[in-house]
Amino acid sequence: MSAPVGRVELRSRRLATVVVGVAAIVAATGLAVVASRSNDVIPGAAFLAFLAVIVLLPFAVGVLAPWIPDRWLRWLNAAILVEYAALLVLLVVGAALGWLPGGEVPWFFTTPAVPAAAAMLAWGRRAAWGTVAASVVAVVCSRVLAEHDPVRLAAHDTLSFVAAALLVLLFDALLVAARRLDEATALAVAAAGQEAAGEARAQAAEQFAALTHDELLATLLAAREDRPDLRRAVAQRARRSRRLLRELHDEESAGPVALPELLVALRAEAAAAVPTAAVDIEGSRRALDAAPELPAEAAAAILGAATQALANATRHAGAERISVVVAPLPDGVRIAVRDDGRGFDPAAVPPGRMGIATSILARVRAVAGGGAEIVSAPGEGTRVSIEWRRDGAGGPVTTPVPAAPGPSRPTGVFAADSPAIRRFLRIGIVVLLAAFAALAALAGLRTDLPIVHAAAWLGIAAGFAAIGWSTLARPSQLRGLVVLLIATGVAALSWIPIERDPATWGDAWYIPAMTPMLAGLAARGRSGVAALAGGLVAAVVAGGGIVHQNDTIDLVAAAVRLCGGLSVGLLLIGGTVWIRRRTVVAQALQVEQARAASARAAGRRELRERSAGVEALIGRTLDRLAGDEPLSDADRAECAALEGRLRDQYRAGRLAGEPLVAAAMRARRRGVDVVLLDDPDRVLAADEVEAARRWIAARLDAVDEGVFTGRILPSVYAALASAVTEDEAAQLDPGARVG
Amino acid sequence: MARVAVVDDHELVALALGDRIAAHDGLEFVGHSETVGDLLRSRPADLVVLDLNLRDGSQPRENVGRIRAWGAQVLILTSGENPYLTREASRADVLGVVRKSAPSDRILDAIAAAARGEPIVTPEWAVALESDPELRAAPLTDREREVLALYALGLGAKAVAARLYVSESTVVDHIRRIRAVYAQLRRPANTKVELYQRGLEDGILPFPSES
Repeated sequence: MSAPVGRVELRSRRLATVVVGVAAIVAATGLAVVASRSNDVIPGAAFLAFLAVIVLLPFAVGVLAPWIPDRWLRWLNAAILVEYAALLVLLVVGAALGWLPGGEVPWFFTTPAVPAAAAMLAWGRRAAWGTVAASVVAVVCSRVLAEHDPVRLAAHDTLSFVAAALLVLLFDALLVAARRLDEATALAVAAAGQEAAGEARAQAAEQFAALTHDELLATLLAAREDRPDLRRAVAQRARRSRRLLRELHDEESAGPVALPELLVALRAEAAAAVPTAAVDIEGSRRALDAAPELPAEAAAAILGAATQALANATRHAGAERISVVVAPLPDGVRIAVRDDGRGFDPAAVPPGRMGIATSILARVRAVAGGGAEIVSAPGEGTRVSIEWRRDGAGGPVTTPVPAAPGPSRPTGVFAADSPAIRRFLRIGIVVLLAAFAALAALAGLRTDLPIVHAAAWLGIAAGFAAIGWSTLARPSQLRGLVVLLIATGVAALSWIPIERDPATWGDAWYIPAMTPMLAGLAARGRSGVAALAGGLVAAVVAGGGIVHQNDTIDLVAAAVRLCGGLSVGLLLIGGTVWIRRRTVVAQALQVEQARAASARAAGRRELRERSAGVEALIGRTLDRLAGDEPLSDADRAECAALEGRLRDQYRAGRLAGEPLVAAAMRARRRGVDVVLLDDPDRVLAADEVEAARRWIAARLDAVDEGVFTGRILPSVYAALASAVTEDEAAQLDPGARVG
Repeated sequence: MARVAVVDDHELVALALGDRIAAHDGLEFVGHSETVGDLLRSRPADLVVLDLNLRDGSQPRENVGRIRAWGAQVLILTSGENPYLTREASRADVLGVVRKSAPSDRILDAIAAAARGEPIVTPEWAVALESDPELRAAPLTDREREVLALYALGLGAKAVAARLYVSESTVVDHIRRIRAVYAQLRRPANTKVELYQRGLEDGILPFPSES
């Protein structure tokens, strides 16, 4: 058997196993109805006993399927197939030995849908088609050996094979789609994790840069001054900086976040995403303070979603105006991000695009009390509402949430509308219609009114055509209605009194032959119309029987087959669609969880590393500043040097490397005001950067006072770098040797 | 006496600077605010020393615009951020851009000069302008570009004048014209979002980054 299965595939396999159980019951019922009329085939009691035995196992397995693990599902399906084969052998051997009445084809053996479906679940596609093929060969051979009238039984056998093939096809589609979804989820989870880790690292770096900028530089700059009157303030700031560094270092506990804090963070995010986005508050400052605190998780989700909405507005929507409005609520908060960009149709998000759906909707909805909504239309801008409420009653209050534009929106069982699938289906339909044509011809030859069978065939062909197979999209209501009318019309043909000789239900072949047509309609997303049509056909057939008072058992058997087959199809189709819908949500959640976990870990690591680095660099100096002792000249020079060192992290770019870092520290301690600049547009090779650093360092070592500016020059200059004091400028030419 | 106010949300910076301003002849320190909004509600000033990057999320250009409309001149203080914010402020009519990490005497000299209405030319300002792709198409003379480039290298006014064999006052004239041209650069046409997007294209992000 094969590799471990994913969540969706397991769920699909369980559904399929349930369907096998139902199919067994349906097949047995159909056979019992036929047998109850033709006692001559196999004596009633033995036949029914066999049927019961054969139905029992699939039924029991089907009932238990939702709780059975994958390995056991496979073994139990294998057992169903083996049981089927064993009973068959028993029947044949028993007949040969005279224990059982012989000379007949065991009837259940002519309906291979159940064993073929079980084979599919146990061993896969090949085993399933092998079972169908084996049963075709075996049934045909045994019919010939038993000297049956092939014409008489052709309808029954053909329709049985068609039913088996249909079931195998549907199972195949279900399992392939399930496997693809699982693979896509795994990929999406991995990608989201990586992406989130990258984002989180960048965010942590920014957060850390903000801390450096806000706290450390200001403290060091003030400490650099020879100002005893500022000593206490400096000590206070140094202690605060020390504490912040330590908090970042072992940042673990994320406490609840007050709304004003969230607002500050939101403004920072908005400024980072779009410097011009205005963040406004709807309501009073008091309402802002009175709003409840948000759990850290909710705050992070809301912030993340709002940031994503802003990014979408700038990156994709081409918006001119973007506004963010924060509305404090008595029991939560609502944030609306609006833009006047090009907008989009939320229902038409291409399959597989996770962007807005996952990042905004799922992220917020994954949090207790969170709700999100996206309202947009092409050319009309986009409005994203994000909401959180303390009592956990999620969902926006403004308007009902539209269906989330998931990664894929299948309307039927088909996961994709590919030319290959369409071609395969069209060929299948042609083969099917050819088989039905043969049935119609056989039946037509034996009646006084062959036109009835010709009309039935034409009706079925027209029904397939009415569904339309140029795309696999959901057919229109009108097409569904046409198919329904055609089905009813074909069923009404059974009212026409025709001579049957001998009367077999093969004469009503067209009733069960409508199963694939109606199943096709259901598979394309019109299950309701298909079910209604099935019911109408049954009613019309039954009505005909009552009106004509004739021997209607053939027709009833035919209608039972149609309804049974159709119910199995509908169950499978409905289940497939349901699983897929649930999967879209589950997948989004899974991706979101991966994202959150990965982001937390990466962000924390980044902060820890950075704070550890800065702590190693300035920890001792901060301790010195935090104390009460007066600062010496050397202390002040050290503060100036460290301030420059930290500042170089912003603007020195590639110059922030040895030996220049050490040279700059020395020069700043000497009292030189060192400025290092790197322009991002200049592309340099590693050895050129290295040369520039060494060259600038050498020049810097010769300076004793004043301002020194070292710079990697923009690309408009021929020279690589410059080293300039206020009176003297030198340039490093490309290719120059640096000693 | 020129009245000088400081807008900076680092209380230490304001403390250190405020005392020095108060002690300076010809300057009156009228107070310190954490946001531009607070400033506009306090005593009037002739010159506002404004931190380029305030933590309240407000934008340099908007801040400068509000202060200019209030009637004061603006001198920008930076902690060495990227040129994007400096350009933003420069387009909104500031007298100059001064680095916080410069020696405090120099900062004070700059404030005093700004209080007299003189433009303050620093490498920070020159670098930010020089690296602006839009400036390449601006109607500047070769000489003006040369002046800007020399300042951007880090030279002082005296050295620039000496290198070009002109007087310092000629250099100042060039600077005035560069400022005027820059302030007019595509101003009415571009939207703020556009400007931001162009910043991204230039590889300049509004937040400090390491590489």
